[in-house]
Order: sequence, then C-alpha cells, then structure tokens
Amino acid sequence: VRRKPGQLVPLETAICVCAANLRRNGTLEFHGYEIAKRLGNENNRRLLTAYGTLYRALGRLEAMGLLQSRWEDPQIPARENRPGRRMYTLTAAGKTAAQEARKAAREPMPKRAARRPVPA
Amino acid sequence: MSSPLMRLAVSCVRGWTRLYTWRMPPASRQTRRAEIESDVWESQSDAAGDHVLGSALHILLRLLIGIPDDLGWRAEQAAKAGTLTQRSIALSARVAGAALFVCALWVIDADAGRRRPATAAAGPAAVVDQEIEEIMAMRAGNVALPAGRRLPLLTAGIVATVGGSMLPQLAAQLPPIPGNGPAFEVLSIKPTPTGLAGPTQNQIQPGGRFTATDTPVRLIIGQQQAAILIDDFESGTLANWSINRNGAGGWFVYANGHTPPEPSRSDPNVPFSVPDPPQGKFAAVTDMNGPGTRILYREVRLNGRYMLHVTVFYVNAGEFGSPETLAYDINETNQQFRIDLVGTSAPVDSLAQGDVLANVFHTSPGDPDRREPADVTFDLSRWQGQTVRLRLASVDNRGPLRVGVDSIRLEPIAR
Repeated sequence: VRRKPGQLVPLETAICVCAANLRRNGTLEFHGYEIAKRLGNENNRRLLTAYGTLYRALGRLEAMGLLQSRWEDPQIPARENRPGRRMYTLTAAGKTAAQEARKAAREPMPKRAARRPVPA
Repeated sequence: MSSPLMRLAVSCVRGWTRLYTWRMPPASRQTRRAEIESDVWESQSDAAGDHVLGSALHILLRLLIGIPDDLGWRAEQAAKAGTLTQRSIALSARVAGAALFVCALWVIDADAGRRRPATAAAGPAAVVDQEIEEIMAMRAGNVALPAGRRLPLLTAGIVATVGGSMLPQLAAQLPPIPGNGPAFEVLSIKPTPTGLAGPTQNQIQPGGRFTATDTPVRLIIGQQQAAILIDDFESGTLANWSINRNGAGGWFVYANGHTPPEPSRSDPNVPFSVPDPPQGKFAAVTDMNGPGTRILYREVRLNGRYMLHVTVFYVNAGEFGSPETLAYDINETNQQFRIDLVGTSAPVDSLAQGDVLANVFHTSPGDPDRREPADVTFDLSRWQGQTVRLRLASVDNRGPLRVGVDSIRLEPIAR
C-alpha cells in the first residue's frame, strides 16, 4: 500500500486500534506475536500478519512516536525458559490515532451519485 | 518442536532472518533476530497440540509473505546508515525475484489443486466420492491433506530458488581471495637455509595475503583471525548470558546513566547515577535496592590466541571489601566487583583456586568510589583451543555498588 505523507497505512491503523482495545481490557503492554494474534482474531483470519510486514509496521509506528518499546527484564524469560520479548506500549499519540481511526470508521461513506438511466 | 517439519519451518525462518540481517549494524541485526525468535517461539508454543503440518505451513507462509517487507526494511536501514550500494540493490532485486518465483509456484500449485475436483467429476464414481470427502474435509476446516501434497513442491522451490539465486551473490560480497586453498596472512619472511633469497620472497610481502599452494619459500604464517564481539549489549537484552543472583537487584541493560533500568528495583536513597553507555546505545549494569550477589556469565570458545577487552566502570556508595567469597550475607564487608575466567564445570559462584582460571579485574579496599569507563585487557592465549566461562560478579552489603560493562570483545594476538 502506497503511503501518503502523514497518514497511516491500514495495517498501522489496525495495530493502533488493536493496541487501544487491549489497553481498554487492561493489557498495557503487548509483544509482536500477541498483536498479530489479536489482529487475526479481530479480522477473523487464521493466517497471521507476516513476520516482515508486522515488525516493519511496528518499527514504523515506534519511529512515528505512536508506540514505545522495551525489552523485558531478562530474568523473566530466563525463568520461563523462552526468548525475551520486546514489549510495546501505545503512546498518547497512538491513542489519538486509534480514536481517529475509530471515528473515521463510524462515519458513513459518502454517497455515490445515482447512475442515470441510459435512454434506450 | 519435535516434528521435523516444524523444525524445517523454524530453520527456514531463522535462516532467512540471518540472511537479510547479514552485515547490518549489530544493534538492528540483533534486535530483529531476537524479535523474530521470540515470535517463532510464541507461535510454536501457541500451536502446541494443533496439527503440525498446518502450524509449519503457517510459519512458512508468514515468512514468505513477509519477504518483500523484510527486504524493504533492510533497504530502509541501509539508506539510514548510508550503506545502500548498487550491489546491495542488485542483491535485493535477486532476492525479490526469487521470492516472486516461489509465490508463483505456490499460486500455480494452489490453482492446480482447486481444479482437480471439477476434472475428477467426469471420472468414475469412486473418484468423485473421494473428491467429495476431500471437499467436505476442507469445508470442515481440515485443510492439512491438500497442503501436505503441496509441501514437497514448495520446499524444493524455496531451496532451489533462494539458494540458487542468492549464494553466488553472497559469495561475491566476500573479499576476493585468489585460488581455492586456505587464506593466510604473511607475518614475516625468513631466508632459506642457504641464506639466499628465493624469487617468491620478492612477491610476497609481510602484511600481504596469499593462498596456500606449493609455495617454495619458508614462511612464518599465522592463520587469519578476526576480532570477535562477545557482546556490546546493543540488542537491548542480555540474550546469550546467564544470570545468577542472590538477594536484591540484578544485571540489566540500560540506556541512560540517570534512569534506572527498573525503578522499582533501584535504591531511591542512593539514586541511580552511572556513566552513560560508553559505546553505542546500551550497556550492562547492576542495580539494586538492597544487599545481594549478582553474577553475569557465559561460556566463550577460544579458537585462537586472543586478548580480552572489556570496558569497565562502577559507582560505589559503600567501602570496598574483598573477602574470598561471593556471598553477601556474611558479617564482614563484602563490597566487590570482579571479572574472572572460570572453568566451565566449576560452580558459578566459586572462588576456589582450582575453579578460577584467572582474575581479569577486581576492586580492592581503598579503591576510588567511582571509575569512569576504561578498557581492561587480558591475554587469553593460554586457553587457546578451550572453552572457558567469563564471569562478571558484583557483591554488596554496605550500600549500592553499581557496576557496568560494555563492548566485550576478543582481539586476535599476532604471533
């Protein structure tokens, strides 16, 4: 999808909205796989967002200041015997972006002009 | 992850991630690899109990669909770093072409699978029944059977296309070495026993490179070694390290000398104030809100003669004391930071003579309260060919002793 200056591509918008939903449910931080899974569930898709697409989008959102990230305390993954997670948080700017996206989704689409009947 | 199919899928993801992050700055490379590794682990863990074939295909599909974005990301990073060259653009184009070819294979195969029932409908009744069963199975969500038939074709396609198109390009990026033998660096040239200079001595100069063939001169040669970065913590994690701790606090990665990495575990009475990471964005540091022992360690294989380099700093709020123990809960002062080379089978907190191979660095009573980042070096050539454990241990029971390390590396020692 070609990016227009100052605008988010649909995946980035979806990530912001999904992160805002998680936040409302009390999950302040999320990791890459978690958001991919949520996005899949919300869109009723079994195939999750591809690795490259997802992490590139997360990186862009972080660069735009809509997300913040940190690596979790290494003792947690060491205790749980798994790789460390990079935890993302939605920033205030990210919340605003999510609200705007929700608002835009609620607004009715502009009506198309009715087609004129072609005279026989 | 016991299934070979799942192992293959995970290996493809790891291999591809290594490939497209190859020769990137360590920070970006390690971050991306760690992130993908975490995602793959999570998806495997999440898929435990699901159909193995379906899960493996899912991982492969996520890999394949993301390839254009991986390449785009790599190009973005290269553009940022100013290293986007014509050769890397050509390489990216080759990889993109390979990815497109694999996708085309997938589409053709999927399309062939879709047409099969219609063709079979004209055949005998038994074939129609079988096709109906397959369609019913697909509608019930069980798509494993048709996908399983496609797997060999896809795997062959991926291996042949990606491997065939990329390996020559990757090989072309290595420094050119004439001939096929191992490469050596010429360190010095001795005259032949007769004292006469042979003709080849005029052609090979110290500092030059040549490939071992039937060279008719006596040379003192050393196999070329590169510096090895053990860790500069630019991944933002302590991945590949093990931590052993007792009491309060621990080892952390930090980015700002005045922001504790974990405020809830930092002593508010003696605020966290250490030098900023001396190299790059991150370094490793200890922080605490009480007495404790914090040990960071990992094993290091020494395949040659190396000099260990570590950037070391600390800020101490108590008085140094160095008893021969790493236990913090003793009556006497134990306030020390030490870096040791330890045997791999030794207990991790042992200071016994047989266990500690060598001490690289240690604080002593009377040392200044603050050490700014400075390089500590230690000759490891005695342990050439061995695996040793590098242990960084900090103990405090008289106030916070915050110690930090960065840029831990092995520099080859010339003979």
